[in-house]
Amino acid sequence: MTTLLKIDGLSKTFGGLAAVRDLSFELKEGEIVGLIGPNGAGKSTAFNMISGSLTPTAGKITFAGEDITGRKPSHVVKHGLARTFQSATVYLKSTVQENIYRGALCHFDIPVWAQLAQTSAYKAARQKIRHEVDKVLEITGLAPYRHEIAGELAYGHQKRIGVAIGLATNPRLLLLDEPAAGLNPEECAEFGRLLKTLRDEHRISLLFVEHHMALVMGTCEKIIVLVQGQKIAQGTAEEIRNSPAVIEAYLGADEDAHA
Amino acid sequence: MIRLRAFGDTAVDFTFLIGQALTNGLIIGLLYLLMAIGFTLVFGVMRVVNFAHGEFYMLGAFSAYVCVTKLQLPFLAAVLATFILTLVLGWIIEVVVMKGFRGEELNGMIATIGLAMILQNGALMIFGPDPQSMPAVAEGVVSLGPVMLPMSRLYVVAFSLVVLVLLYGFLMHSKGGRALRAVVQDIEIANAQGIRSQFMYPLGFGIGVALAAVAGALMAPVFSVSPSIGSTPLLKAFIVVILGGLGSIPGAALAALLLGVFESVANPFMSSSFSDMLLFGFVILMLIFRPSGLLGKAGR
Amino acid sequence: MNVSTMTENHNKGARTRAFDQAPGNAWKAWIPALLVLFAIPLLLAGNPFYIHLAVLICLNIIFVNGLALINRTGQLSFCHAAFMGMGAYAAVICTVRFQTPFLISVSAGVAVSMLAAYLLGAVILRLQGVYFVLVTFCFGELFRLVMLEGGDITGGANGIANIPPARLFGFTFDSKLSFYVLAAACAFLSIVFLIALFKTPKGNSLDAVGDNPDLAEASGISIQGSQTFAFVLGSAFAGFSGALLAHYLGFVSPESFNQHISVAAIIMLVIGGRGSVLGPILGALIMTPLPELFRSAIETQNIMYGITLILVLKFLPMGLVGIGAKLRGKKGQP
Repeated sequence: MTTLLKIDGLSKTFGGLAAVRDLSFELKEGEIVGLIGPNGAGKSTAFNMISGSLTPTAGKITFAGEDITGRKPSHVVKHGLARTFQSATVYLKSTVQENIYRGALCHFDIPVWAQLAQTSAYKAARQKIRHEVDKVLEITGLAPYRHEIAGELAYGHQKRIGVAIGLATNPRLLLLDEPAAGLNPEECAEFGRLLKTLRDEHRISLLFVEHHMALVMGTCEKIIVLVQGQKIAQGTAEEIRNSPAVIEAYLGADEDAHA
Repeated sequence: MIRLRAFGDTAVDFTFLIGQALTNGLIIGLLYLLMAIGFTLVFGVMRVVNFAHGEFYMLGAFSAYVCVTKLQLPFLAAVLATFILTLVLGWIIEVVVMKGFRGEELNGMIATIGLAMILQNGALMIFGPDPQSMPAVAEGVVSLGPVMLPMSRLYVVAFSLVVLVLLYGFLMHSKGGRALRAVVQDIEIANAQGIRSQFMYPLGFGIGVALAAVAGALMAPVFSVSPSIGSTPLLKAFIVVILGGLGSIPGAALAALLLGVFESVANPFMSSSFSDMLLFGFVILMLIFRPSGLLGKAGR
Repeated sequence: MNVSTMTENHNKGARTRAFDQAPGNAWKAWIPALLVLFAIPLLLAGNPFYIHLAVLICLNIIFVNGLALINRTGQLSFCHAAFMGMGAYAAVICTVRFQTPFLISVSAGVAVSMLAAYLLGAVILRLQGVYFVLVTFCFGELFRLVMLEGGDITGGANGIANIPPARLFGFTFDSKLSFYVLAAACAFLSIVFLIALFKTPKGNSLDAVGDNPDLAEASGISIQGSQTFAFVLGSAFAGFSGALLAHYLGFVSPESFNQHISVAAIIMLVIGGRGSVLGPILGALIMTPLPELFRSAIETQNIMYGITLILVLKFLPMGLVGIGAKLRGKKGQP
């Protein structure tokens, strides 16, 4: 398996405060990797640097052999690295299929004049996009809702639409920001199945930042634990469960929570 | 256009001119600073660009004018009355008009355009378009070496500094001020800490516009008072905020003073529209090379 | 099952977006309606004042259409009048100094507006949204000052007068009525262009940036690219309307393009309705004649505008166009 994503010495400071310190890890093609840690561990900061919404203070991000450090999200996603958002982030006023269609516009590069002139190349490209939209609707199980307005659907469905928009950009790696947040256990299990399908049937690698332990332990082959901006452990679910450093960090957090 | 002509037209001494311009610049810089801080405060709390900010400057000037000439109040009382009146007015306007637009950048901003139209044309109906003048606050001139300072302007400096010190004390050391700063920094965290933001919105808006009104009241004896005087200070507040970096009070202070000094130094040598042109050119260059403002941190 | 089909139909009816419709059918109904609308003033040809108003409405439609285009990517330009002025001054200078034909002058005016918008956009569109507002406001003032200080080239405060009327293919548009035909044709084309643009994927991606910029950026639609595109094209509309206006009035001055004009455009857009093609048309249609008809009570009128603006924002955030959608929405519910 080839290395798809390589993070090397990634750091970010906000006004002198280090949110992420010297983070390094690799993700191989076809892997599902989870990035976990207590609140304020710098997970989201790391996530935002990889997806391009934050510029790192130091370090290097290589994706599919290309240095993408500090590139904008719209550039990164065109290389095959898509992301979802923590809260359900969709185009609230648009239908489900239009939401996905907008994601599929990622690789649509017919010039405006040709779109206005309705050239045959444009018509062919548009047809192709429609097929892609249909495909994504099927994969995510959103086909029955395609004409519904996204903002009027349940939260779980909106999260699904968020993933569908990311899928429509035709990614090799999908970054998921707390996909389980706000979902009930049933929706959560369903989500886990969807993620497995993406990898097994559509060969999409996954990296997710997550709070929800069961989802991470059940889905991820490799888990990276961040505490106070630093990587304290990395390994399989079994290894993480038994790592003294992780137990200490999490027990500490638990005590706080119950205090 | 606001102008502070250098004193003594016959004087040719260059150092005198520069000294005079520097002092005048600091005075007008303080005025811009009051405007810009008020503007930043409103933006910080509401996330709204307040296009009516200049109209509160104008209202402040009229309030001082009415208090002094019609009600025969002393100037200090007039400034105080202006502050309280506009604070209350701002509070009411926030609750009645702006409440629906809290946190809505675009709609809130457009609503303040409507507000500006109402305030300015209301003043036109009440006071008429002609400029009014108000008696000077103090007579006499103080000389500092070669630099001559009319007492009336020293008053402005003293008052501005007092207002700034009071504001600083309020924001840093009072409970309400600390809560206000917390809201400016992050409304959700402030809410989580139990700060009642419902109360902070009108307070922030009220204090913000009252600062603009105090600036207007302080300038009323120096310049003439008319319903259209608000637009220039508004524009200057914008420039200060861009140069200083939005949300940075030290940046705004530096930018305001530099702006005041630049205008006063340029004043004897060029028309005010030409110096404004240079200024705008500088603003654009700033945005290319230092978009986060004079003192701003890189990033964003 | 029954219920879901019902909502489906309702939603389909409420949407007028590109993707949910067979391409280019429903909107063709617009064209006859527009043609009828633009033909109405011809019936009033006897009254030059009405024709004058009709010309101004047409030019404002083009002008506000440009602003609407920019706004659909989530930005509000406060120097729209400056781009109108740039188009006007550039075209007039070409016509008066270099005796270029009308078509060339107008093209030059549009090109200057677009170039300036591109340069300004490149600088400010990478900053946070609020800076765009502050800087465009200052830029509008800068433009006015530059025209004021422009000496012989711009004519300073006096501006440039005696601009020859528009001439196209040997025909001179020197009467109000003939110019109305030209202005109406241009306004019509600008509307059709916008309708067509927002049927294309490009138009859809502009709306995506306006609806949710972070999501658009994350799914490959560049915020800066889309906003620059809209800013340049929208400013081209402004420049075009300016070039036409100058040749219609025969006169330009810095005050014809000051901040009040930019704000007036914003008011028209907001009252008419943002986010639709119909909004700017309604806004220009309703708001252009009012100041001309009630010249006497200017203060009361401005106060009424201010109040209307706030009320519309509060109760009809989608503008007058929103009334129709609201009514339809209520009917759709059981």
